[in-house]
Amino acid sequence: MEGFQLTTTVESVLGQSFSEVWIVGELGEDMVEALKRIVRNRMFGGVKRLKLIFYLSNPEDLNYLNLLRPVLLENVSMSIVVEERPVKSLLDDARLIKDEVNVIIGKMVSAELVKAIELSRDRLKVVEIHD
Amino acid sequence: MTNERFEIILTTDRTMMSDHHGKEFIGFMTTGPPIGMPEFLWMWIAAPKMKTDRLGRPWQAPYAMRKLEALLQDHGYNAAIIDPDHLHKHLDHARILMLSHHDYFALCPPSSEWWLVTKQEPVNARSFRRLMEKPEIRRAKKNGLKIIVGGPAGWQWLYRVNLWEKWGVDTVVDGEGERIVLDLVEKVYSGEPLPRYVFVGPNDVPMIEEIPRIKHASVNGLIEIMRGCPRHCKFCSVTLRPLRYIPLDMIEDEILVNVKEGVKGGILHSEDVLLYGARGLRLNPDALIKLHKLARKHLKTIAWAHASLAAIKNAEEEYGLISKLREIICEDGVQDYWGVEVGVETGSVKLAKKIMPAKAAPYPAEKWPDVVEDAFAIMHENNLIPAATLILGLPEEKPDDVLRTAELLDRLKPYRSLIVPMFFVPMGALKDKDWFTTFKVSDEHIEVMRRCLWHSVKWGEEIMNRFYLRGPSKFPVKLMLKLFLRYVRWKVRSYEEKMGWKPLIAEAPVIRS
Repeated sequence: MEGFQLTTTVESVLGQSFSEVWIVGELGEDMVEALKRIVRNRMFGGVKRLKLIFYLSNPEDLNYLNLLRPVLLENVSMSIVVEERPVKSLLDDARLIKDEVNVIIGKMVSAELVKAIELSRDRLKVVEIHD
Repeated sequence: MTNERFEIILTTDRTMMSDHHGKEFIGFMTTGPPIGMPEFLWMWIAAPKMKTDRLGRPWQAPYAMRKLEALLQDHGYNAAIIDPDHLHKHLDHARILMLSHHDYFALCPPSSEWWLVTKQEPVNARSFRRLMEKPEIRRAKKNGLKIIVGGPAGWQWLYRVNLWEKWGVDTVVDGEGERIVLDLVEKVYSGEPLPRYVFVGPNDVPMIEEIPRIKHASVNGLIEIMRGCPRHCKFCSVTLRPLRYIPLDMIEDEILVNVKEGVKGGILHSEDVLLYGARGLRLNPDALIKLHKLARKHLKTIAWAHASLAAIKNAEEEYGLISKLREIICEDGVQDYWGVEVGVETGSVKLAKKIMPAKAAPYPAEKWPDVVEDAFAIMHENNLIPAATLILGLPEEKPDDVLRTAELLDRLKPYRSLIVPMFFVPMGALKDKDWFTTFKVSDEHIEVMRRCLWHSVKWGEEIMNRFYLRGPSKFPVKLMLKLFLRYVRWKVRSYEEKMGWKPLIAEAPVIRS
């Protein structure tokens, strides 16, 4: 990293503010429509950046991306970041929430979710899957 | 002293890391399976190996990768593009492997179409799989190498999640890479987890001053002159991004990088070259003439990546501009033709109005078939040789729409061109629509495909004889391509006889002077 000359300054993407949606537990087919609805609402609501955070019991298993594909394809105008985190980090993350975050509850939800909602000072808002 | 250990390696497979014998169009053969010959011979014709230095750095590399290489180097990272045959020299001490591709899994047109028609996997997908299964990549991955993939075909990984997992790809990026790539690299260097997927939206594409200048030669001297497109065709992803014109001084710098490294020809890249400097869709002849004079000053040969048919017609009819640009391009006699990709897409006015209402602008969408024919006539008269595409299986397409396309093909018979039908792939604003799949191929589609094939075989032979691959060094490739065209002619004729179809080849094109 020494002795270089910086000729191009570039703005960060990940350093920008993102609207967040948390998906806690395994993603199921019944949750896809709810996620699509959220993505559409955010997109038409003028949101520029959206982060989908998956709290998974096995973050090595990428099968959830097959279900997520139609959700991602709904979008044309927002930057979307998909992250995976272990369920055990949920409580720590809930303590740090600043703005309201939508949560979708997946299959095999950990009991830690209830605790997380308390810790978030009601900033975690559970989204109903079925209208 | 040159650092011989690179921490960030950028690479791709052989079908991309090749100059295709100096002819970009031959590169399209990598989208097909080997037909009538062994794969190694097909690969030798379509994607010969690239010359490299001792460290495996290629003489020429894909332009988008050159941009990221320059960006990373500008920010002090020890990064380099490495030819796929030389990865073993570097991967044991690399931290990040970055991959880019136009068509990782042969899902884009025309690969998907050749796959469907021949029932054989195209060589681009085979070649990429061989790359990913190289022992040096597998070994480095086990030792903690991070793999980040992107490029124009980044979206394809969403359809191949099993391989995403199997090959240990950490992050997939879909969209322009300049802003996100530094974020990702910084995360790796600081030991933070990487995101699994990033779609870069229009608000996060780089501004002109954030786009770095390439430091080494690009494949066949390809240079970007603008990004984005104002036509807003619904099937296209480029049009979703803002329009940016690259300033002439930046274009000149990059041309000079290529020339200095021995790449004497250049391809001006844009989704619509004739819109360079345009105000909306209003052409800017002055900017175009300056651009071409600049290119002429430094380059031996000039080609265009893409142009719209409406802009070609408008340029010639309103400004006599195609003739003027021909004079500039062909002025020293070194070249007497130039190539371009154009999109015919459909012959149906109804579909044109729905999916690409501004494609005919400044002419009304109702006039689309006339715009296409007029533009083809202008190109024919000016030795501008188009490789044209059609889209079959567009959403809401009806048999009558396909027949309108067949009729348009008949009108295009007299004009020198290659026409390739492509199956609809959901991209751009239509990316959530269904794929065009085998069982939907109708008799009308087959008819359009036959007409395209015979049109292209006929004109392909003429182009080969009169314009393409001149000089003794190109003779072996030219011979192989001619033999290939003969094989195609024989094979298709045999099939038509078997099916009892009237041979279309009898309807030879009328050659206009």
